[in-house]
Amino acid sequence: MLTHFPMPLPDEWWYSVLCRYYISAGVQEHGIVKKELFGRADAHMGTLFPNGSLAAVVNRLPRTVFCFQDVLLNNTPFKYYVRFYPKGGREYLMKYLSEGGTPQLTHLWRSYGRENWKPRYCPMCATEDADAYGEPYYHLSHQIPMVSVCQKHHCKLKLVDKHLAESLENPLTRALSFTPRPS
Amino acid sequence: MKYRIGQPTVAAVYDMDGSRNPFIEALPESLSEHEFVREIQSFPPCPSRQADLSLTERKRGIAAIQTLFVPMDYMYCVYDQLWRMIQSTYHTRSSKQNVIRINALFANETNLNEYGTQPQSASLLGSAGLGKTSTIKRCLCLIPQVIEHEQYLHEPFFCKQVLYLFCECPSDCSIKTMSFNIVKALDDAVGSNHLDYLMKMRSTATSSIATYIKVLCMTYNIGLICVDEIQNLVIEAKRTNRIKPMIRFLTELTNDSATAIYFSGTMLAETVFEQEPYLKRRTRGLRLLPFKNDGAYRDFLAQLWPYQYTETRARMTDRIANVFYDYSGGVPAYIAKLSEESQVQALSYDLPCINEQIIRNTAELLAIRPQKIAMRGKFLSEFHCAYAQPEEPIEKAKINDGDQKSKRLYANQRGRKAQERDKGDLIAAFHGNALQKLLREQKMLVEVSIC
Repeated sequence: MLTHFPMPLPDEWWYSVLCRYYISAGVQEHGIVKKELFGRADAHMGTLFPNGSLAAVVNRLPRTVFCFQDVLLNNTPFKYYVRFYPKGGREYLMKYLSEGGTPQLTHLWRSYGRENWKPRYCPMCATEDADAYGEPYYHLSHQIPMVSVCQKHHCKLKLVDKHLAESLENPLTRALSFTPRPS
Repeated sequence: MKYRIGQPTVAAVYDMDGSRNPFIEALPESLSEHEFVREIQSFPPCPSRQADLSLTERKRGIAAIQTLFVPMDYMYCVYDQLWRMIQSTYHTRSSKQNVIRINALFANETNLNEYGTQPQSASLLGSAGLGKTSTIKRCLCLIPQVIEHEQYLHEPFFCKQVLYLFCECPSDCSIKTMSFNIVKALDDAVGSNHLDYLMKMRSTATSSIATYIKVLCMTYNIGLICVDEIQNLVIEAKRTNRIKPMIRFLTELTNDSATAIYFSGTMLAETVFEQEPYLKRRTRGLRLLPFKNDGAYRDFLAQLWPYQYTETRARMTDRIANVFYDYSGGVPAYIAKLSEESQVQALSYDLPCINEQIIRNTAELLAIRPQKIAMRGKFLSEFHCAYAQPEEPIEKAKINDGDQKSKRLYANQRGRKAQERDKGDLIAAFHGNALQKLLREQKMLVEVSIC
């Protein structure tokens, strides 16, 4: 069981929650924290669509506070990707993910190339979040492919630097690099 | 009561006092002095039918004397101070401030002063054997160590609030060992494995460990860190001529994480504390001295007295009480030790009960000698003054009037015995203010000189 974990903030992307966990853990070595979070040091955490690591983390948290279904629907773009799936298909995917499976969706990057996608943030949201919660975070609504404008502020979303986006998949990169800073 | 006393980990119960700070609303209530005394005292059952006990039962009973804990007046002061320190920590800290501080530490931003006020710090110093450590431990046991939050104002809120950690200053005064002690105490409290992670960390530089500890203090919302045996600082300082690093580390830790700190140890530490004004300011608190030979001492002895496992119970006379005081110097630990060991000696010599000679022999055997008091502080007996009540016994009040010098009110009168005089003796009547009455009764003349 994990003894501490940040509560997901409104519209927070799950990856951002994990980044905040890294910061509050105090350990600046990825491998150690990953083992603590996922039970293994080679888990992939920097993915847009949820994978098996989601269940690994949620299963280490108290069920009275964290519900897998809530996290999946509110903190990952699951709803966006399976919007046109039949009910049975959605339920199957949800069950598969809750059991720690990593589904391979063939259409995932078809409309929007993986190479074009980078984590995004709204500078105005970042400033507001820093004021309200003490730190900025990645909003889920900003991460949906082809979305380029913040729904709230109607301003253009900023992309994180290219080298940071590349290291999103690199487990040795420090979490802080991915936390958007208010400009 | 919000939380059952003695439970180390509890689920948060909120007061809903409108502060909108879950850490403050979940804090336990303070006990009254009466409740406090009831909770911390520990009196094992007194021996009954002493004559029928076997030798094993007697020795077993003697060993149980160590479990006796007699509450003293200064203990509530300590409890009250600890409780208030924990409270004040959470008044200067909210979840948002914690997040800001953690981020600042992560980004190696050193200027954290703008994010909050300074935490409280204090110290409890005193002669060895007065029960400082036991008192602190018992006081802390009355407060739950970990409060688990899961939901606040119908919103999920998952975190642990560690109200206090208790650890010892390492004998080598190493910052790393101190850090390990703090992390170990945290692991024991919340069931985490941070010590393992700390050991596995590639960078074991003191600065990175210090940052790690600071972050943990904020992640787990630690309210108070108690550091016992702080006199080790002086002992190590004499050897290596280095005092400051450890104190600086602790000061920096508490300042950066806004966690209160409480030092306890012997009076040796006062020499270090008084060296620097910034240390002196942070380490004020009680300075305890042993009992004076007075009513408070006799009360303490009276509570210890029923625990005699010899064939018969010795009568507590002034002479025996004085012998105990002469050898123990009024230090509770020595008094208990003398009582225990003199009973063992009495049993081994087949004596029915302890006596003066046995107590003297035991003290010599165990090399128990009174300590010299060469420091300023408050005697354990003097704590009555702070809570003086009208019904206080006159003899105690008389004793408390005295200054630092201990009065021997129960000591035997020394010198040549006064000569016995008959009832009609004029000198005796004069001293008893009954001279005129005697003269009238005896129809004697009173010479009046008119000037």
